[in-house]
Amino acid sequence: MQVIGGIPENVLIDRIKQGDQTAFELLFKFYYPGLVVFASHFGIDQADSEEIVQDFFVRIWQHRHKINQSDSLKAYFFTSIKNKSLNVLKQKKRNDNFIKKLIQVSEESHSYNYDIFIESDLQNKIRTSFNLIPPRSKEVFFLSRVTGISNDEIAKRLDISKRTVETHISNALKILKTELKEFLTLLILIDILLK
Amino acid sequence: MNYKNAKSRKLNIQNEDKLHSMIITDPEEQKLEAALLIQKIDSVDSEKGFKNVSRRIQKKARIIHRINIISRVAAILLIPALFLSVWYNVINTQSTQIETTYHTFNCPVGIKTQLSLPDGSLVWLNSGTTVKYQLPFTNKTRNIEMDGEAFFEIKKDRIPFIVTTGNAKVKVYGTEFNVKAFGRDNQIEVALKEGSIGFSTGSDVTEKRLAPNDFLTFNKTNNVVETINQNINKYIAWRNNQLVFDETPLSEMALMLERWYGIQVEIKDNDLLRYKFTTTFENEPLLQVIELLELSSPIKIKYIPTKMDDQSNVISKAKIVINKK
Repeated sequence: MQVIGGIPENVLIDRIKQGDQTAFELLFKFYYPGLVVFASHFGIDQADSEEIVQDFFVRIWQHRHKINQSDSLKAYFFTSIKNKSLNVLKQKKRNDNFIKKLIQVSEESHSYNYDIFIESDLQNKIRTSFNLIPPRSKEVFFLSRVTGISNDEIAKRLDISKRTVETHISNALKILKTELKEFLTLLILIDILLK
Repeated sequence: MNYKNAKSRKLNIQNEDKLHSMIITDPEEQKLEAALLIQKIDSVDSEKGFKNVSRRIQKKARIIHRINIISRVAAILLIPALFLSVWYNVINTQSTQIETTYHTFNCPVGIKTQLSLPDGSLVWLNSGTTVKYQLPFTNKTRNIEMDGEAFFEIKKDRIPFIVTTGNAKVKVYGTEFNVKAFGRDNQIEVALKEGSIGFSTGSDVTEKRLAPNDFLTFNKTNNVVETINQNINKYIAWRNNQLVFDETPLSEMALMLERWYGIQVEIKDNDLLRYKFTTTFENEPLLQVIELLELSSPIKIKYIPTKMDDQSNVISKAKIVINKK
């Protein structure tokens, strides 16, 4: 059973069913950031992702009496957001082949571990290991992986040699790899490439 | 491992060829990059998101409300039709009495509602309030019974409007006012914003007339009625989702918090009862209120979340315990 802010999820749902807005806020704040990032994986920009997730929560509140307690809410939330995201893509008249492939990819990777998107042991572990990376390496790693600029560009920007940039990146990767060893099997296909 | 650049691996949606290259990227490295995901998650603004959602929920609630009004109007239009058909059926028997039905509206603890009466008057119900009125509403008098706290905005009409709570009555002459009368409270409070109302109780037939900004209290044990003319804003602020404490003693504040958030409040130290609080909260969640109260006063508040009793399967209310710092 998922525990949110010290309250078991089923208790929270009971309170939401009684119209408790504080409970709804707790639930929202627990899932919202992860769901937004998750939606953005389907090639949807940040603003649209937020819109999709907000819309979903408005519906949850409106139909709160129908929430089924026996279901896994986590899986239900993430699956719903996945479907909605794909629908949005369809509406935007993206090339059909593209969507087909995307659906195929997301369905083949059964082992999506949603825990990575919410406060969980898995996420904590990743956080901790990320903090073990020395600040400078972290900065370089971040520039390379999140901003997506080339090693040459990073070297120029930070006024260091390209060689140093590479060392920083491999350093960061090494730390993450050692630290996350036991979790590697869990972190299956998180396609953050679909930024 | 290939770290050359992430840009080329970022998905360009228009280009499906890249989808393929994306899928076959070194899985090991993909796993590691999950770490970066967390930074993205942290940068999402939940506060803003929740504000948007709250606003949209309230907007939807208003639309649903309007549909409710329409259905009520439809129900009222139906009454003459029903009356006619009954009249046709019993034309030979001469009995043309129609039965009145009662409408009960219950606003659960922890939420507030707005209600529109068949005559167009508006009623705001504070949490834990029940109102009951009869249909057809505009018969000889417009009668409404209540237990709890409500703010009324009465549509002017020749037909008198009477609010009954226990054995006390407020007679209305087109106006805006607040009545606080929870069955278990020892006192009834009436605050008049605009217009004119008359207050009377079962034991006393004479009517006490109130002028705007009059605040009346009626003590149920000794039947004493007192009126003061003052700024009554704090008594009606709840309607705008404001929780106002103005020199409010802790004992009363505890009661207000209980009703507002549907929780239980326990005061551990009797010394604390002499403390008075002056502050206004607008739309704040409980945990925020606790935090602010602790910051600004010598009290310590412990929040005990809702619990389920394993044996009885009964869910207890969330509770806060107030203690000295």
